[in-house]
Amino acid sequence: MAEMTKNEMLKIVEESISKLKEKTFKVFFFVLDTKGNPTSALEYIYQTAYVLKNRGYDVAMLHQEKEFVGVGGWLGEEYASLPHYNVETENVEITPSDFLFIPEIFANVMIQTRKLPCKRVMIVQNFNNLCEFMPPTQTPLTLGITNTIATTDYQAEKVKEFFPEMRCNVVSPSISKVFRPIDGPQKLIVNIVSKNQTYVNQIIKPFYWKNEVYKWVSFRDLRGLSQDLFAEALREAAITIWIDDDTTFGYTLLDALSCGTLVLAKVPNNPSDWMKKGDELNESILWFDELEDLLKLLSSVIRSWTLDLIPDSIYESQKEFYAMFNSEKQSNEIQDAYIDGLFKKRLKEFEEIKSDVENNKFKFKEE
Amino acid sequence: MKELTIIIPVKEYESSIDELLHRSIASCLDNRIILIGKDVDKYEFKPNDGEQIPVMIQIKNDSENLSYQHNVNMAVDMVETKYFSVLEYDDFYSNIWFKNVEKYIEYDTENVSGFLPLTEVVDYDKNEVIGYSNEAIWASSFSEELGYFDLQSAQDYLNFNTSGAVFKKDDFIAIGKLKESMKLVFWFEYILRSLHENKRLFVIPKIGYYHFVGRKDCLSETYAKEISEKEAEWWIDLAKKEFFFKKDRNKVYSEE
Repeated sequence: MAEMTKNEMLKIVEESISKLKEKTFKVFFFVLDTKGNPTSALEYIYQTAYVLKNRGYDVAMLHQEKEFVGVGGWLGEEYASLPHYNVETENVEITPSDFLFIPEIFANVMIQTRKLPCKRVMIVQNFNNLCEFMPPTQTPLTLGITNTIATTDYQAEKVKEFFPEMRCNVVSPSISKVFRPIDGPQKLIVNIVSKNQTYVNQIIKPFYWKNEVYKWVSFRDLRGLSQDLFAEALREAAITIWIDDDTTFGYTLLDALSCGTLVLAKVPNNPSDWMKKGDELNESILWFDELEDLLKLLSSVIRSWTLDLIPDSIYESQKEFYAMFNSEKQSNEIQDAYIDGLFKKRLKEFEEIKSDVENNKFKFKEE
Repeated sequence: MKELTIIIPVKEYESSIDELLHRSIASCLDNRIILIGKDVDKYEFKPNDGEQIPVMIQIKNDSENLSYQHNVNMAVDMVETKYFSVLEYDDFYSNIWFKNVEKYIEYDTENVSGFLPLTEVVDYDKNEVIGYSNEAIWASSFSEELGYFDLQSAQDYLNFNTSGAVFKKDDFIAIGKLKESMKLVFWFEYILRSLHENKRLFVIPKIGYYHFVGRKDCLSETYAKEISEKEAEWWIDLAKKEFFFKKDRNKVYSEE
């Protein structure tokens, strides 16, 4: 503080108060360029940014890519049209009233930005990523990050377990409205949603070899589709197989359930909170542990589906997930965590600082 | 299902019909039923306990032509509903079939001329499921549009089953009905003719029909005994040439 005069300090604080009051401060999100490949983790960041933009905040996305592809091809132009800046080549002015949200995978960005004057907040969708990328000598707290937004209670608990001083809020993802059931009968198609091509091969061929009578059943690998095509493929198919061992949330599983397709899912290594009812896995999903089990399960599910023997209760309970993760709920959580929990608090902090400055509670440089 | 008539063509009345009918029509007692064949007027439906009595029209066909095609064509002329379905009296419909047809009609009513079921083929003696019919239409890349026949795929695929299918009466008549001179391949030729006339045929991916094979006096078994492999091939080739013509050109097989 002694490096500034009182008036210089007051000017900065008053400017910040003004920007925070008038919503002219910047809200930056650091994003990864997935080169046109859809990922739900990135969609979550864009969803949040888009909600804030619609609430009148000045939102911008930051990246480090020379040839940035973006999300227009799969998430839609409304998201791609948010302002984007390359921090390597473009001069981005960051002031004390601004916010920078950094996903947990960018430990390097947390280190590089430690001297920025803005408020930095970590977004945690997968705590394991933090373990993987954060240098052992550092923690978010030592890097000056004291606030976290997590996607689930479980992720928030993990953060609090290791960094008890961290302030955590939960903002759930929301299921996009494009993921809705079909208006009419479904087709007898079996979708496979898996990041891993090996799983696709290990399902289709052995299934045909074991079930000659079902050699006519069509499988469809849904990797690399735009969000619209992905949603369309999910809703028109009778059955979807979902495999993602390492997921911490299961966005695409939720997308599938919202589309009304019958889902056969491999139990992930750490099932997310929403996948359980009490201590048990939710019964509206047909779970399997090993691929061998899937082959048996799938043939019996196909036969049941062709005979209308799938209990209606399974389809009915799928609708509960939409209620759990709809955009209204997410919007309310964004209000609590971002607007009330961060932006308004930041304003209050600056108002307190202003009062302290006016009451000479700091040492200032002589005018 | 409203607007549907079930046609049951039989060669002639025999006492076993009663037992078979009770099994095969259990799921369609609320539909109008046309029983057609020689002496079928002798038949009296005796309901089992709790079974409702169907509205049954019995058409006695004492003409010289007792062919399956002739009986079906005659019966369709008597149909007063928008749709009809032909039941082989020793087969039976699944109890979900008509509910599903209604659902699909509601979804795509005007464009589809015929809804075919996924048919489970059952060995008559062993009472065992041995395969499916109409299933290939749901294999990827088989036809231009999943679930729909197209002319090319229909010509390549002989394992379809039209019994149990639900057809639009007006389309059936407009296309020219079944050709009576066609042996063995009359439905095959009709399907090709429908597609040639740009009618859409859709396979509902639900098990709608159980078809029994191996019964001694059923039509396919009779053909298997009477028709050589060479003649069967001749009829198949003929169907692929005749579907361009609406009228039956009364082609006859000759060893030469």
